[in-house]
Amino acid sequence: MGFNMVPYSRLMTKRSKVKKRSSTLVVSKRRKELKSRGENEAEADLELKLELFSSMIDELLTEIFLRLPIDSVCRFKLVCKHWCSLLSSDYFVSRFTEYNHNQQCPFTLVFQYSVFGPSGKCGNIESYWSHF
Amino acid sequence: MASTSTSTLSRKLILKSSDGEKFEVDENVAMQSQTIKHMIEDLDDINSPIPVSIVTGTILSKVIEYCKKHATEDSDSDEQLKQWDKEYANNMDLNTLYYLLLAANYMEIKGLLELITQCVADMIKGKSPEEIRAHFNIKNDFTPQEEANIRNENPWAFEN
Repeated sequence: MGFNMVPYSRLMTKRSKVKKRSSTLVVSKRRKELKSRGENEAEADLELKLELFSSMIDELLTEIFLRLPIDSVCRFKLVCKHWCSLLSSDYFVSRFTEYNHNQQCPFTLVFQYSVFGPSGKCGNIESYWSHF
Repeated sequence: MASTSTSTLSRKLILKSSDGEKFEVDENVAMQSQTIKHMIEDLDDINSPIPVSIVTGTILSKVIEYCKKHATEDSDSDEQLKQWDKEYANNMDLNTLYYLLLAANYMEIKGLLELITQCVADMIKGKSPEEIRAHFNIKNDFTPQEEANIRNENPWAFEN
């Protein structure tokens, strides 16, 4: 269970790089702007929600996606181009493979091979069979 | 519920939220956050409030609740702690979860980050792409042809 230390530290390093221009700062500033303009609370909240979500850094989305079952991963590629590119990236595929490997779920690994394909994106097939 | 048996030896720290709310916490509670741990190391005056500049008071109080529980590890078994975590996360709405996620990320609290990401994943995993878009206000920017291509890649994932 838990984060693999290497990708996790990578996440943290990236996080500290973006800390100065943190999305949350933008969000809270935006909220003040909306309030000062006297727009109604519900609209401001919706705006805030939108901005919060769209500005949520990709690493956090990836951490959530890692914990999804494979069918959700395939389905969520259809949400939008941004999600599709995150879910199809080499980085995500290798993290997902590793995460499920650590959860000791061999069937998921076979499934992954059939889903992500033998393109080499997620390692080679021998490495999957070696788990059996 | 929170730690009543706080050590008298532990130093007290004051955390200050983005909206100016102050929280007095034991040092071992605050040290659950790697960010605060590093801040303390660089701090000359331990008595001055430590700014947690991007986290509001409402969210910070929830973060502290989590840290207090996890700072007193002897009091509960692993199983009890897991149960507590589950109830803690289940009591949050989606909006609060996002703020907590950002706070846990900023404050570098690994356990909380894991808990919240798993909770959000559990909340969204059964949803269709349409439901996800509606839920998060995401615009579908695929052409019908692109959409069909993705569906054809893994048709089984779209069967109910």
